[in-house]
Parts: sequence; structure tokens; C-alpha cells
Amino acid sequence: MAHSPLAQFEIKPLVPMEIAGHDVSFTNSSLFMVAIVVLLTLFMNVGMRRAALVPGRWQSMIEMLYEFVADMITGTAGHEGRKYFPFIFTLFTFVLCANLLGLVPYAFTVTSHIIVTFALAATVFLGVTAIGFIKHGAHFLKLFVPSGVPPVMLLILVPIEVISYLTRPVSLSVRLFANMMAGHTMLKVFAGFVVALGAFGVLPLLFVIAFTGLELLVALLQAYVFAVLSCIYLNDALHLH
Amino acid sequence: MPQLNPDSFLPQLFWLAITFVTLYFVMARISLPRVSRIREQRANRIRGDLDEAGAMKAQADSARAAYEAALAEAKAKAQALGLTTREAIKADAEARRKAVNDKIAADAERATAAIEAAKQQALAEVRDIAADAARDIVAKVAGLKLDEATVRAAVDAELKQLAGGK
Repeated sequence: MAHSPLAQFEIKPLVPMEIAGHDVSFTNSSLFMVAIVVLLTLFMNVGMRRAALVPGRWQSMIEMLYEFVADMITGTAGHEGRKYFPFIFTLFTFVLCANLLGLVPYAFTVTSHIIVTFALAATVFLGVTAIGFIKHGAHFLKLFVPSGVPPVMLLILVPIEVISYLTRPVSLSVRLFANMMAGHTMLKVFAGFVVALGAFGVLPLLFVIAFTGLELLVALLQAYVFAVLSCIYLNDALHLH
Repeated sequence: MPQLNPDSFLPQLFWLAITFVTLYFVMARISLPRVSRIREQRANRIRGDLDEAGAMKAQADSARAAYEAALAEAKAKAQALGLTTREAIKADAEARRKAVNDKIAADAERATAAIEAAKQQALAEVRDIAADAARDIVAKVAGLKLDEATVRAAVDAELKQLAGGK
């Protein structure tokens, strides 16, 4: 096969664009980002066009999604977290839709690029840090000082806490990106075996089918993990221990 | 690895920013308020229905309480009525019984008096008959002609003795 398993992650410009000498081309990645926005907008609005007190199927799905994210926020960040509901909802649905859309054959997975997941994680990180400082001022730095610890231990613990805080966006973004990339690469590799093995190709085919199911789970789970961790970070900023 | 090609970073970041911000505003301004509005309406409706049900239940409870009070009152009234009626009947019966008793007593007294009178009369007649018989017997047996007074005295004495001896 001419394509390497990594060829699916190639960024291909569709409409070359430039702003002030910088390349901002509309690429296959951009196309899928726009598709995510369009799909989510349609899903969330067409289903609510005839909003009824007793919901239909579509409206029920929307409300379940709404309730799921709302419960996730109040469960981790408490009632004050409700203020950031639209952002967490957008984040969760965007990542979820990107992950699921990526499972469609020949589709591009937006979240399989570290720069995208890192940008999202960095937004969460910077936003949460800003919220913490706005809400608590310099007291927010107490987050790095565990309570009830002898002062000598703080010499070791404070740097550890600071490092763990600073690595949050890295771990958050790498987790999602690595899961997406590994899964899709694996699928591609085994899909290649199907053709290469001829009649025995049925074995890798069965594996690919089963693995697609697992990837579906991973897509849902990673979107959930991304959103839940964002909520937990938000909780740290809202409620100092 | 295409992910590490720095040339692809800027276009991705640029379009990510545009699409994510667009999605955020669509969700925050249009979609989510719609969902929360309908959920709010539903919650209000349910609360309203529950309130209404609660009010109806209170109404039913008060109606039942009123019914029970009326029932108790009626029962008490009926009992009182029964009691007074029984008392009245008892008093009436007592009065009648008394009247009948009195009448019987009076009748008995009168009868006793009549019997007494009859007895006296009979006794007097017995004396006359005894006196006549005694006089006739004396005239026949002894040939004596006794006067009325003597015979009477003798019969009386004899009768008294009989009465005394008895």
C-alpha cells in the first residue's frame, strides 16, 4: 500500500489563504472543524424546533446530553461551576463530535493533532488559572501549599505541586491526542493486513470490526475525561482546599 | 509524523479558534437557553401541578373533616334525642303505673270496706236468727215466754264467748 498508517493525519490545504503573510489555509482539518460546528448546531437546534413539555426522541437526546454535562459540572465543581456550563458543554460536545466523526472511514480526526488538543487544554488551563486569581487573588497560590504539612516538607511539596499544576495542560492534551492517534493508526495498520493477507484477511477484518467498537468507547470516554478533568481543574480554582 | 510539522500549526489554530468560538456562541446564546427554557417550563408545570394537587388534597381533607364533624354531631344529636325520648317514655310509664296502682289500691280499700260492712251485717243477722231460734227453742222445750231483751243478751254473751274461745 502506498499510504503509510500515518498518512491519514496529513494536513492538506483545500483553499490556500494568507493573513499578513501567515498561512491560514482552509485545510481538511478546518473542513472537519466546520463540519463539527454545523452538525452540533443542527443537532441542538433542529431537535428543539418544536420543543415540547413532553419531549420527543430527538429532544430527549438533547436534554440527556444537557443533563449529562450539567450533572458533570455540578458533581465536580459544585453549584458555582454552573456559570461555566456553556463553555464546558461546548468543549465536551466539540471533542466528542471530533472523536466520533473521526471514526467515519476516510474522515479526518481533528483531535488526533496535538496542536488542537493542546490549544483546547491550554485554553482550559489559562482560563482556570485566571478564574482562580480573579476569585481568590494571591490566596490562589495556597493551592500549591498542602494544608497540615510540616514546614520542612513544604520545601519539597510546593515545587511538586507547582510542577504537577503546570503539567496539567500537557497531560490533558497528550492523553486525548495519543488515544486518538494510536487508535486510528492501529485501525489503519490492521486494515492494511486485510488486503495483504488475501483469504486470511478475514481475521484482521474481524479484529478491525471489534477494535472499531473499542475505538467508539475510547472516543466517548476520552471526550468525557477531557471535560471532567476540565471541571476538576475548575473546581480547584473555584474552591481552594 | 504529520502532527509535528510546525507549518500546519497556524492554520489549525486559526480555524480551531474560529470554529470553537462560533460553536461557543451558538451554544451559549441560542441552543442552551432553548433547552434550559423548556426544562424550566417543565419544572414550573410540574411544580404547579403538584401545588394544585396539594391544594386539592387539602380541600378533600377539609371536606372529610367537615363530613366527620357533621356525622359526629348528628350521632350525638340522635343519641340525645333517644335519651330524652326514653326518659319521657319512662316517666310516662311510671306515671301510668302509679295511677293504675292508686286506682287498684282505692278499689281494694273500697272492696275491703264493702266486705267489712257485709260481714257486720251478716253478723247482726246471725244474732237475730240465733235469738229467734233460741226463743222458739226455749218456748217449745220449756214453755217459757222470754222477752226479747233477755234472749238477745244471752245470745250476745254466748257469741262473745264463742268469739273469745276461738
